[in-house]
Amino acid sequence: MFILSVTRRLTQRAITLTVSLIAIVVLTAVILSLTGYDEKVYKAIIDGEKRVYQQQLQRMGVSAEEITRRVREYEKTLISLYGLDQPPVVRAFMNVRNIMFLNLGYAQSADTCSVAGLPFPCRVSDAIMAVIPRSILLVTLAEFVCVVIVLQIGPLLAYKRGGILDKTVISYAAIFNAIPLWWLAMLFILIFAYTLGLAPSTSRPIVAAINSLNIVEIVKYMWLPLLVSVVGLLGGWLYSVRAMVLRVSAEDFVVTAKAKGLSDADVARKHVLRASMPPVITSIVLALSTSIFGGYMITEAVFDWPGMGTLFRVAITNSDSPTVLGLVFMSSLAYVIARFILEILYMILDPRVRI
Amino acid sequence: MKEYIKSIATWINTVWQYNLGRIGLILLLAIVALSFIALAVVPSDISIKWNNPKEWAYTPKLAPPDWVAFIGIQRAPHAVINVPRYSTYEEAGITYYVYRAIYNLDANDYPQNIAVVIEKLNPLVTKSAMDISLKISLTLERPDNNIVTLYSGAKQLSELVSVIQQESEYVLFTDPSTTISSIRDLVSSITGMSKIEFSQKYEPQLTAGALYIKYCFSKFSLSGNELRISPLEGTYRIQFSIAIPTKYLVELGLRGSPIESLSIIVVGDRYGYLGTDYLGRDIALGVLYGFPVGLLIGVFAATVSVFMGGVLGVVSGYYGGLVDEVIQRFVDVLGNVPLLPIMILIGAIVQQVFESPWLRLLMIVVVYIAFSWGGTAIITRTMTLSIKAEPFVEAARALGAGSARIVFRHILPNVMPYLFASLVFAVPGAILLEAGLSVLGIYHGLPTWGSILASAEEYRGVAMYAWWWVLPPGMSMALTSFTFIALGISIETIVDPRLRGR
Repeated sequence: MFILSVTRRLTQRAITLTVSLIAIVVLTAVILSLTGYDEKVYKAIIDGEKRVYQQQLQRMGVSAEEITRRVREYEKTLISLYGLDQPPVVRAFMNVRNIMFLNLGYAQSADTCSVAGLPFPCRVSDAIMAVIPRSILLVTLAEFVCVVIVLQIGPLLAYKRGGILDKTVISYAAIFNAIPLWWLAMLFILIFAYTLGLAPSTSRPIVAAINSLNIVEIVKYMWLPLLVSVVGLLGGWLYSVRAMVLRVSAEDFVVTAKAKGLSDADVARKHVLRASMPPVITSIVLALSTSIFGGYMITEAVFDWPGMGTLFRVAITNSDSPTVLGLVFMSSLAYVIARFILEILYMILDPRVRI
Repeated sequence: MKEYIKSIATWINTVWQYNLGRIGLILLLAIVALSFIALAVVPSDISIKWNNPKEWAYTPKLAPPDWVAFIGIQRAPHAVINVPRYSTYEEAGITYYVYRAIYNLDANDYPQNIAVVIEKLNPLVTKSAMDISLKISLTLERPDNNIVTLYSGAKQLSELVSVIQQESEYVLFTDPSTTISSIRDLVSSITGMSKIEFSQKYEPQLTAGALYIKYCFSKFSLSGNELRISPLEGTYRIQFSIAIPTKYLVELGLRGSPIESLSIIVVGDRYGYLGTDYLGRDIALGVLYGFPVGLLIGVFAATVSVFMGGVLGVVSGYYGGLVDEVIQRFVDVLGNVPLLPIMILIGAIVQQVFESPWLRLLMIVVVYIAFSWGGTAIITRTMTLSIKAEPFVEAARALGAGSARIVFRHILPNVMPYLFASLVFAVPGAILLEAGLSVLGIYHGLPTWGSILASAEEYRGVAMYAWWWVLPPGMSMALTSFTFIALGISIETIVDPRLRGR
């Protein structure tokens, strides 16, 4: 019975998520062909492919005339491959295929490749694949630190509603809810990196450090983004822990525990916290996917952290449309997959959802 | 009508009962007041002016606010000196008109430049078709009584006339080569350094970044073989003269100067209430303008999105069946669409397709609305379902009330307060999204908090300690969203009694 209901629910979720993903792709493809933006994108892609092809031929020592002829032929193939000779309606279908298979050719600028840590020219798909793990790394680590902190503060919150700690937590949450994380990042960079000189102002060089597994270097480039993320994300954590702890505190079993004469600390740690953490953790973990592939990308861009946010910004400012398009699809896909995985996690952690 | 006013008054009164509500209401009042001030103060063509570097040619670049002088930060003051009077003399058949201004350098710092702005010529000159060569000179008399020539040359009158007609002013800046040769003489007479040595060692770098202006306002000393400079504080006299052969004056029928209005500007190193950015744009102007724009974006997006969500939620809950199923599945799909990537794509396209900044912004907001009404629809649907099952609705139906009556008289009044609370909560969303998109490189061209911060990010404002460039727009943004969060929390507490404290 239990297995059945879980499978049913998961199937339902999988279907909704797949439909969402298809909706995103179709919508993107239609918008692209309606606005004529895809023509620009494909022209850019074809130019890139041509350039690479030409360089190859030159390296092979083919004569100049032959190169021109072959490149022109290649261009024709590409034009029909991307459907530039087709009417917009047909092209919309081809857009769907090209986006889904990341059939987007080469990145248009050296800057885009440098974010990914690849030599120019690099394939759009390679660049995107290189940055996704880095995005996940930073925000997951930040959330983990938040959990550790919240596990310390959580029990204290259970003692007294309306106390100093309680008020501090509420004000902290309200203030940091209003302050955009990426602006906080700008302030911290201004203070810690430029004024005090305690941190590097850009995190991009971390790529080399990660590749050589140099822990000291990794910490050097990572501590400031991590600190800012924890400071900014902690507000949400504290607020939901507080709400949950207060709700659980009023339950009968807590009253019983108190009546048994257990100390406040024991009640808080063993009863209240244990009961309130699973829903808190799961709800926040579920929110993780939103933050990784949502607003958090802006913070990444501010730190120049070589993840999806920075790749987005560099691609936009360099008018590297194929990369932008690929990123839109890949971040949507990653988002949908992450949601699904977290949904499973949610069911494992929170027994109430299993029914 | 009276009833509505009364109920609004009751609402405000109730919100006022809460500390957070009181703070929110006061802040909201301040934000609305600032918006009106902005609409009155900021020129209506700000979106064009903001992006036109010529408009900001003679404001200080990257300068902190004026008031930093009060906290002891040494920055050269900015001075716009309108010179209404001039003296005149004739020499060898040429008439000279001389304009003088006094600038007091009271800080251990260098001004950024000196400019002469000719705002208006005498109508007789403007109408005349004659092309006369004018001799122009601009000199600076330093506190140590030495004189630096900043400009010396000839200009055609026709050039002045046509530039003023096109751009409503003629701006004359210091001339690097004239100034540098004058500085060369100055340095050699003060320190005894040979002119050749000065030319070889220092001149190559002087033109870059208008560094030569610093030398005009410097004390010089030699330490070993090196030339040391430090700001020379005191009173500077700036003299601008324009010379016309007297015979032309007679022909033109001109009595007095050909210039009717002229300002001498010492481009200082601090400016206005909130300083300037890398182009010399007045940040106070941009931040102030951000208030009405931000409020408009936020309130418009929130209202439309909550209205859509409310209507579809009520329809979904009240009618049920296939309609309900379709709407709910649609909301499901919407809820799984990552907003930011989609918005980035739309932004990137909008940037290419539309020219007008307002249209770009509108498109971004409209797409945001299209993706953001789902949450409201779910809550409204649930509420509608439970209200529909209430005995009073059943009674109304038994009395023969139609769907319209039930929805408008019974369901909507009960759902309304919730919708209002979610509307208030939804206001910051669009504002923060617009700002975030700007930072990711999507420009619409209007001065908003987001675009100011984006330029601070892109043009290394952060790297240059330009706190006045980063703090005010961010604080305005945070304050605005805090206002609506505070109001939202207190309204929610009123609407849902379960949330009220102990």
